[in-house]
Amino acid sequence: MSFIVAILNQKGGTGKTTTTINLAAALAFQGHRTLMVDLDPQGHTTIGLGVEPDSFKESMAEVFTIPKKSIQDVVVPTYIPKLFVAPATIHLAQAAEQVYSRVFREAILAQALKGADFEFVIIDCPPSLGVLTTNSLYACDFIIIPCQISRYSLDGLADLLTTIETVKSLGLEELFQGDHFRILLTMFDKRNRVTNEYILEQLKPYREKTFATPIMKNEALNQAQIAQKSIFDYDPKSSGALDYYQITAEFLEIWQKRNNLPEKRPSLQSCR
Amino acid sequence: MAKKKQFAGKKTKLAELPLTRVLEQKAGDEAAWEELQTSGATGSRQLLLSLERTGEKAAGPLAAAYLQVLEELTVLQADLRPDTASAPNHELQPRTALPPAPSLLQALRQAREGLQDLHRLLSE
Repeated sequence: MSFIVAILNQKGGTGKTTTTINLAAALAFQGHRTLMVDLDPQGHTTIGLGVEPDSFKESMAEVFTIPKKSIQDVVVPTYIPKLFVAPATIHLAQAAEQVYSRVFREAILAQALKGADFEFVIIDCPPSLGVLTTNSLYACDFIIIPCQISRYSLDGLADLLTTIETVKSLGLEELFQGDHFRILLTMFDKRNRVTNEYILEQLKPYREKTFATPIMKNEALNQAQIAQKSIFDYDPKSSGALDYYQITAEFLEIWQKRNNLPEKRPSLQSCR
Repeated sequence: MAKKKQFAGKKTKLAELPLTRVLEQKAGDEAAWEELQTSGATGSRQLLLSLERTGEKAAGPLAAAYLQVLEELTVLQADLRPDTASAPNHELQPRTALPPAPSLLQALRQAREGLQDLHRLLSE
């Protein structure tokens, strides 16, 4: 059975796509058969690893508009062995409009993922709290919330936690006690001391629910987007590669604990 | 005015979220527990773990932790002196939910195991 993870924050530009691509790539490099689901009509996860929009006929738009359409029908391989993507195009935005009239519209993705033959499914969500995001929340086992060090990100986080609580039908205690989510600090810049201090103080109650590794601001991560490669291929010695390796290790630890599996750290070498 | 001073009183949505308040409360309880663990002063220990405080609503998790300590000690007594072991004392059952800190339970178990080892060494 797949472990389904939603990379989610309704605020734009927090690093959702970068996290989706590099976490999924690291998992695939560790030998795990992994699927990225692009739920953002901008389609950046799709093109992020070099899958061109004219190279596939069907995408997530069809999954959302054709009843009982399986995600397996739209999956395409990436250049990384064991890593696949369910692609998206701008048509997904129109498809999302259409599903508002469907019954059980929140469960379309969960239904489409049934029987998917992947160890990990990583969903890149759009920067909104609409029907696509609700679908990912409904389908997922775990949520990663990339969060920039900014005041507006904290406000966004508050809205998001309220939405998670509602969609997952969790009480406050349950939301925290169960292992449902982790906050991932992104684009962290040590030089912004005053802002960092304020934001980290605000996040203090959530320290147990925050990945210990922040993703430092790193130009190589931007350059890897242009090269349409994972950071491990583009610049394996960059701080971005090391940060995402650490995040993968922390993530796998959570997964291993959940499934009562023996603890095994990923190999940095296999991330190239 | 200093930049940081201008942050005073500025509240974020996150700070006002009920979950954040619950977590802050919890962190306060955990801090009190940590203080208790590290404190050598008997006076403060008595204050924090007095039975009177277990009746206070705010001390719910603390009371549960207190009762957990007593339970662990009862188990230890039964392990060390099975001949004098009595039936479980139902009065010691925690009436409130335990604090969600697995580290607390682990620390208690480790303490019990430590005492068992000590008893074994002294008996040899």
